[in-house]
Amino acid sequence: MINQFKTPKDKVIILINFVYILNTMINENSMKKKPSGADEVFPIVVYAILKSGVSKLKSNMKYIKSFRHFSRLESAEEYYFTTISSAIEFIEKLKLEHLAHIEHKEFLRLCDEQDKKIDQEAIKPYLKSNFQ
Amino acid sequence: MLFTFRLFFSTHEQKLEDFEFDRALKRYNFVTLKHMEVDESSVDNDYLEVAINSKL
Repeated sequence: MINQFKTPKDKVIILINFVYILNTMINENSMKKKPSGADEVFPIVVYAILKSGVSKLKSNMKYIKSFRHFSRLESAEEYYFTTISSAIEFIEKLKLEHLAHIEHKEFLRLCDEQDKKIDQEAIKPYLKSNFQ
Repeated sequence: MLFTFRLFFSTHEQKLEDFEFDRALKRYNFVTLKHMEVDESSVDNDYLEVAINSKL
């Protein structure tokens, strides 16, 4: 979705809405106990980005940084933007130590499985065009 | 000339960064809320689905 919009403002709005939905969810569900902080929001943002499978997110972030005037990236906008930037960095540097309730062997097995799937998907279009 | 070279390499560098990040997203797709140590009482599946399906 973010790739369909051209202006940095539109792209920022999409990022804000994404984190806002997750923030609202946590606030509504933990209202009786305590107000939510970045500690609660961050892991869910990471999880949601991983599951969304959005493409070219890094380019979009760079584009926003380059073309959105810094005076417009303030308060809530800045907070949500920083949250997503941190989540991206977390995903890039993700290791076994960053995850809980998973063993070394299981982690390696799941990574291998995913790598095979990715490779097979990458080969598919070439196989189709060359062997049909 | 120099500008053209810089432009050429910066776009390729960007493409590579995107490729690597997109691959990382697919690679770690197995991660669950439990792995992220999320308090599941604060999670509402409807909200989560809306956020995930919004595809950013």
